[in-house]
Amino acid sequence: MKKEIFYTLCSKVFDCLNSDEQLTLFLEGENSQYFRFNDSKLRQSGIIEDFNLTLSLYNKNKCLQSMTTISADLDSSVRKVIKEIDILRLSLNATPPSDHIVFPDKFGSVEVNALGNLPERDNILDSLMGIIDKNTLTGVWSSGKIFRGCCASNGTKHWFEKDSFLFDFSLIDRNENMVKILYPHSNWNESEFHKVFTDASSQLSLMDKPRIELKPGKYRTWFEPCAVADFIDMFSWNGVSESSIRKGSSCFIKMRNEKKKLSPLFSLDESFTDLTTAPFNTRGEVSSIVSIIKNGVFENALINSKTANEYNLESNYAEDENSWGMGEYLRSPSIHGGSLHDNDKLKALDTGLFMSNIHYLNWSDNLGGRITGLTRYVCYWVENGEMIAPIKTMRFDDSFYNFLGDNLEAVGEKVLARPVIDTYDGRNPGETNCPGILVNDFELTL
Amino acid sequence: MGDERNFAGSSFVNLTDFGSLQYGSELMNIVFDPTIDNQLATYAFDDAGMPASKEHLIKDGILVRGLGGIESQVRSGVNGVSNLRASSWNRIPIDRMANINLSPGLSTRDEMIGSVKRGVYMESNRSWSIDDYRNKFQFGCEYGRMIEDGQLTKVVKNPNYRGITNPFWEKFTYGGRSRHI
Repeated sequence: MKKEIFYTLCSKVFDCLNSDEQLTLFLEGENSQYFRFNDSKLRQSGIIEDFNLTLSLYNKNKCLQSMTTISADLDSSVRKVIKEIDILRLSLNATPPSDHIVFPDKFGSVEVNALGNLPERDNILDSLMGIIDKNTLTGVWSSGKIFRGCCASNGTKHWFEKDSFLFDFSLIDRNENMVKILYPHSNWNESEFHKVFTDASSQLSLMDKPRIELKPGKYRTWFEPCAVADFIDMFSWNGVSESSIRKGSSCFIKMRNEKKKLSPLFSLDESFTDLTTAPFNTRGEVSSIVSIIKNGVFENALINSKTANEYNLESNYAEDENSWGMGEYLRSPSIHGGSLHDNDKLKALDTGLFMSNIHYLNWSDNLGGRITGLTRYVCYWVENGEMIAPIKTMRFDDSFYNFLGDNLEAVGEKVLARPVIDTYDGRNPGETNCPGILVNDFELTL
Repeated sequence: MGDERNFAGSSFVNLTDFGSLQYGSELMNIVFDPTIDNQLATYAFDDAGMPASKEHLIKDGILVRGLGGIESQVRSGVNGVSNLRASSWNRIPIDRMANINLSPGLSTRDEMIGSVKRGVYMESNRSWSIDDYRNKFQFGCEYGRMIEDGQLTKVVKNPNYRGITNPFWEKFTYGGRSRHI
């Protein structure tokens, strides 16, 4: 899909609106190559060209949405979208007005063309198979362009286009020890991937020791950035949303209402400054940096325009509710790095747990900030700064008011950009910027 | 088959366990039934075109069959079910669960609660977490009450339960009667 085709489509559709109507058109698209591997053998492959358009038709303070697919065939796409508008009009007449619905303000134009150097489709498989020579790899390669676009009938006009690939894989040995690798990039370099694979293989061989079983209890723990990113993901679910705070379901209510604080070492922003994902939302509103937690103090929730209208607040242009019922979620979270150098993390841990990844998190007490989940992948016991042995899977259940509060001892200097790996409705361009953290008394339960 | 080891994970069950693994107590009967009316995953054929039928996955506590469509059955040599399904028109079909039900038992609610000296009654799961081999689980519920001397007493806040799959199902001692809501 070319930007010019999308803009022309929008312009032609806007010409068909009645005088009392306004419209936003939001495009999510991808042009992707997928390979799925098991035991280092190709299991499935596929090419996806998919362009979904969300229409939001407004008539004063009424609004209805629908979604359709479009293609680079301009005429047929325009016809299809106009037909969708005709259907929406019929329903909009019967829809009651809402004071919380307003058409978005004009936001000018933002254009991001994050072009890279992706491998040729015909060569990807040969390049990968030449390197993943041992029967240890299970995972998915995805590559190609990701598109986002948004035009509104008041003149807002945005485009985001990104070349990227992600090789999301595990290496698994005969004892089912596993190493997880997320290798994202915009520029393919075969020798660099060879090094990533070799390093992961070396890491896996270090895990080839009898696993030790820990007892439930409190442990000093180092979390690698990928594990921390999983904790941060939880804040999008009954967390940073102003609406969820107002409705009494947010884990940050204690910070808002009781002025409870986290550690001064912890700061969280929503930031689009590096433009790794589209800085505009589905309404075409452009977000600036939002400081959510600064040195342990809760500063701002994410507020979309609907919530702003409902509670008479100022919007920071967070996302509308999506088809999953989630709104005001983190699209580009960033945790501030600290002072602990990466080479010193095991020494600083001294004796305790090293956790590369965590698995299947959920709230066990949302308002109390308690999260349960499990250890997974490279998790091992450390004594005197030296790896002793991998551990058997353990469940944890602890509150972030503890492990990001008084129990947070240090934050890593190195900040990792962990890509979004969800592909439920297509590939996503976002990432979470996260350092590792050193925590005291982290609670393992089973 | 291990296809999901990089994502959802694997299973403590091995292919050789089908037909012999004592998964839980003899009261435990788990049924795959896409033919049942008015459930969320009711269909006549899966996306591989295989006719759907009711099958026991666990019968009298023994694991007898896996969730695997025609492709997985050919690859594994193990009996499966018709569950090769795509989540949308633009997604390839994979093995997905359909209507999976625990068969009712013979006990009334009052009989079951009356048999408990001290325990917790829980309703409506709202939080789920399982490990990558489906061993250690934890679930949270919306509502709970203490059971004391066979009676429901005070409401408890944030009830959660955690356990390990086999030992948990081995302790399955009463099954509630069928109820129509």
